[in-house]
Amino acid sequence: MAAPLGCGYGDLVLASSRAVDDEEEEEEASQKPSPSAVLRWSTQAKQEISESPNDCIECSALIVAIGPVATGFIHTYLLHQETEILGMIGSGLSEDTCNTFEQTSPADATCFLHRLKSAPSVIVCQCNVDIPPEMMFSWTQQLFSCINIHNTYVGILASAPVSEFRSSVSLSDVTVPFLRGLKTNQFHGKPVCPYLEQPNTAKGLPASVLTHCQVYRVPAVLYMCYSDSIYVEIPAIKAFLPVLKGTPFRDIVQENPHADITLRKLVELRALQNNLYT
Amino acid sequence: MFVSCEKEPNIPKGYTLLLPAVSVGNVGQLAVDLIVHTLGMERIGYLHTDCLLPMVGNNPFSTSQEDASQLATGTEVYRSVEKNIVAVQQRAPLVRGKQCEFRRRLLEWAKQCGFSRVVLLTSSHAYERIDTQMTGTQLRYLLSPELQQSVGKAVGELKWTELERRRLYPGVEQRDGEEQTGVFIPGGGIARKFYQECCEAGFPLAVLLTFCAEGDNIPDAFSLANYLNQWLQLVPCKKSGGKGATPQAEWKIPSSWTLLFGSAYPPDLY
Repeated sequence: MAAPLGCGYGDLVLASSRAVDDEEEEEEASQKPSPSAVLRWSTQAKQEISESPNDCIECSALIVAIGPVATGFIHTYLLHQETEILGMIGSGLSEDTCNTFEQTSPADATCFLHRLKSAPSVIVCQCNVDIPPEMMFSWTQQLFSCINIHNTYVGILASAPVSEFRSSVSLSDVTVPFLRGLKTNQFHGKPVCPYLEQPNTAKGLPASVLTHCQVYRVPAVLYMCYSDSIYVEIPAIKAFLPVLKGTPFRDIVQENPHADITLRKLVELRALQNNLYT
Repeated sequence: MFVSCEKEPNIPKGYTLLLPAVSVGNVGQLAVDLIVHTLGMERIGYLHTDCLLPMVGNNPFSTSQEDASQLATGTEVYRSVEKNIVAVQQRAPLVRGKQCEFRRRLLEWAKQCGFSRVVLLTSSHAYERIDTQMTGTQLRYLLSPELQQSVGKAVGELKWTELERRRLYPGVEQRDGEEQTGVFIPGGGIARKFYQECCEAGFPLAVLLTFCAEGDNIPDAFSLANYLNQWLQLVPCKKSGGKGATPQAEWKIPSSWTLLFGSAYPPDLY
């Protein structure tokens, strides 16, 4: 009796069929409900929202820091003042997702909304989470959902590798790290650094927040720090220093006499995570 | 999905809508860049939806220092009152799993605005061509039945080549001896499905495409833009290059078309 085909002759390998269109996988994916980000307010913030006439938190300046370099900068130069945690934006239930208000280390993968006690209308969002692309829109919607953005200035800080930066000058001749800016039409000032030249673009979460501000006519400015290191380093964090002289930071920042010590501790904390086994 | 940036949104009924598909070589998008920049179309709004990946940059159509700092978002809508067209420029891809939803919303928006027709610019993988497509013009068109009735004759006079139908089940004969055929646009993005949905909905759609491979797709973009221009007469043409050649228009290249293949190399590499 002949052995069945494939039995004892190794595995049957089916050739990919041209009848199966890649679009069919796309259509299957579209049947699944898309995940959304969720904003959780603290008990105090919930009470404040329920008591406000328009169910919103008043905000004159919203600072959004995205990624370890930008959040390190805000942690050192803005959040050394006394703050309270207003809420957090959750974007998933993977193993390393933080969903409590207790994990407040600057190196934790968290996304908290802070408020300065010295300036209660200033809200700072520190995003240390990698938000998946399909959640960026809902994350942005959640961020602006209960904040009264009329008369609000938005400042966004983010970083990117210099390898993504296109320049007619060879990158070996450019001093790294450097800062580039983009602003919405409603922002009437100029960024404190050169504009991001064509054909460069910003993408991901910083782009999602700036797009929202452009579409809904909110004055906003985005500062991108381009650095050549994959690790968090002090020169990259300090590259953001000029933004402290611009809107909306200059009216709310207070000098931190221990900035250098804070920076060193932050970089050491991050360095512990930057090894072969993490 | 559409958010206007004008004080009073104004998309008159009866306009033509130009749409690019994110396709091989990004040819449709490059062609729309040429059209928007050459006609000096004004931005009238944005397509703001969770179906599109976010992206921002400075004004890709800037002509001076003053307008260079105007922010551009991932997907924007432009209008030319002179030519009665509205163009969408999509600079970022779709979110995975959202293509179906995006097509549905696009068709709904097109119906709401009362566009007289939609023209989708796309491209298709050159390596998937059949024998008859290997030589001759690389440009093809498709018209939905609704549009075939109104412009089929005008398009016929241009002596264009319609996209060949392919057998859906090669080698399998139906009982009546006929083979089932369908539209096949590999690498064409939303083109095939959008065409099918517009046919089912009785909506006037034209698909213009070119066969190409990934690489320097600027010539393909010019070719597709000239193809469209031959029909819609948006931009004046130079004298035709030869018998059967598509007339060439005077297109303006936008400032964003620089460093398309990356930064300058470091000279000390050598």
